[in-house]
Amino acid sequence: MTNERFDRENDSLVSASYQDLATERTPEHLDDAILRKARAAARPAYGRLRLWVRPLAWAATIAISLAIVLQVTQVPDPGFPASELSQPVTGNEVAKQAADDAVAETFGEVTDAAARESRGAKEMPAAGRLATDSAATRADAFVPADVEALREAEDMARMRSGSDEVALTAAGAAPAPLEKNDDQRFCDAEARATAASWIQCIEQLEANDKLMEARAERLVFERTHPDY
Amino acid sequence: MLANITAAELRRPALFSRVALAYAHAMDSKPADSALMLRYRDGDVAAFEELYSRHKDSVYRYLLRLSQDRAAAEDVCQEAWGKIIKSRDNYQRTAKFTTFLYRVAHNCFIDYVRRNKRHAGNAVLEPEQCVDTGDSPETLTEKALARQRLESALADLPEEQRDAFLLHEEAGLNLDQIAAVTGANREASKSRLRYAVAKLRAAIDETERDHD
Repeated sequence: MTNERFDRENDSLVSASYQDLATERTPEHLDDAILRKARAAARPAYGRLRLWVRPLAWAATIAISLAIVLQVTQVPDPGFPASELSQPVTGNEVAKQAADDAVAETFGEVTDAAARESRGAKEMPAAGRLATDSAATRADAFVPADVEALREAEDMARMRSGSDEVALTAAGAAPAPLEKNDDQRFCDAEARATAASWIQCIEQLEANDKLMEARAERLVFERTHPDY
Repeated sequence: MLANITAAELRRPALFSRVALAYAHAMDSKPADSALMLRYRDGDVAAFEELYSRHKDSVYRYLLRLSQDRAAAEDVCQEAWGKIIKSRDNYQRTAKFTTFLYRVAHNCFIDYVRRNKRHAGNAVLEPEQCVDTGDSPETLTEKALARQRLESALADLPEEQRDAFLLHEEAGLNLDQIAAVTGANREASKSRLRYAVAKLRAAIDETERDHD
């Protein structure tokens, strides 16, 4: 008898005996537990979530679109007040406005300084310079689409701030530059004596193509004669 | 159904389709385990129920004889099937499903033994309630004695040999598959199985000698 044959005979006999012996069956509660688990696992876990998938997708799309639109249109400029940011303005307008503000403030303060010459207001030039600087900073901080417009505005602001500096220096404490400042005025004291003569002087400046000077004079005039 | 078809009828072309359909139906009635598992992966619970009904008892008996404890066998059985259920999403038809199933069950049992160090493994199972087969009381007594001897011999086997024998008997695995499940090589599995069978045969022979 070979080993294989012996094994096979042993195997079949033992196997038959074992089959007689092994008759146990799984308890029902075990079957129930396992099948329940299998059913639960087969159920899609995201069944309830599926109801929300479409609305959530729409909400996400809208939110992302809004965020992109806001990102594109918003001008990040901490130098401007929030009220100015909310208004739709172009770069050219902003630069011009800033420059005008600077000139108005400067000339207004110069006028005030002249009125308060006796008190010797030393802080005025510094304030004027500060205003001019802030105007230039504001104009620089904004980056409009129209670069040419920005350059033009910057040039204008620079020109004005240059002439302002002279005026502001004159408005300082030293009396000698104050007289010089009178000479630098585009319309002299005689012309400024009356509103009519002052206007005439301004028109003369305009006729001579001295538009910047005329504008500066006009601003001072408007402050001096607001009801004219 | 196929036996009722005569040779003359087979010549008719329409009949070929009937035969083919009957054959296909016969084949479809018992799909492969891996196909059922794939169907279950796709959400077909009925496929799992069929798969479970095919293997539940043999897996339970395998674990029962391995652990020698009904409560332990139930725990490990539940854990093993739970793992099969969990693994359905990643199931691929790379090996025979039975090998996969018994490897999971085997590993669960090993984990169970590690968790419960007190597992002795030598307790003889209490006999289940006897089924009335119409045998005489003497025959029933003899059978009960034979069962008890075999059960005792099975319990006395070293765990590796018992494992190999049970995998061979309950799962119908061959030596390579037993080696794959237990993590041993083929020769070791063959040796374990031979020793187990020889010892059980000796126990059966002893019972017969006592009877004579």
